[in-house]
Amino acid sequence: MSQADLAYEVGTTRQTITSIETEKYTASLVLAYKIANFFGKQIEEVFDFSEVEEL
Amino acid sequence: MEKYRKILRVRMLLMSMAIILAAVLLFMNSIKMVQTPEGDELSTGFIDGFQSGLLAAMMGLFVVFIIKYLLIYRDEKKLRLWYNHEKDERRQQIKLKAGGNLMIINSVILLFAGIIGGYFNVIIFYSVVACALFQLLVSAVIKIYLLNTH
Repeated sequence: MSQADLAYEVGTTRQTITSIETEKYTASLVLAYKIANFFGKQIEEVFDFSEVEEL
Repeated sequence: MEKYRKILRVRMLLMSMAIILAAVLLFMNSIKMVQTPEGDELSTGFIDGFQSGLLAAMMGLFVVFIIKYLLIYRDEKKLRLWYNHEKDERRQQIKLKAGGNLMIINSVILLFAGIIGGYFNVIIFYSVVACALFQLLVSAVIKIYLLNTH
């Protein structure tokens, strides 16, 4: 599956998926849920937010 | 998606109305430019030319947008892609950081204020238009920077 396909399915853009993959951008809870749900997994199985800096 | 189609229809309608209005103003402005009385200063012509250029650019931009929206409107996949593009949370966040719509609204108001002020004093015209363009430039630079780094 390509980034564009995933983006299309979860309602975002390919650039956002790229930014999430390269850790330039942290997905919101809603988007993280949509991506995890798409793969049929829990959010913590797909994302590791342990090193994300709090604002 | 039907709701979004409706939004696109409203946008196209508003842009069509703006094109007609701009065309009328451009026509009136052209007549005025031809009949510019002798003794007018160069700056008077400059302001008229700026107005005509602004109106023509606005018309051109809206025509391009209407064509773009029509192509999107007719294709279900393109419509979904454009919807995703517009609602994308990362782009919305970047847009907010770059001043959002407020910056554009401010700049447009400044441009119109500059044109009106130009009838009273040409210095006002140059200053206000320069402010508007500078504001737009800063916003665009921030947006491009954030799009590449976020």
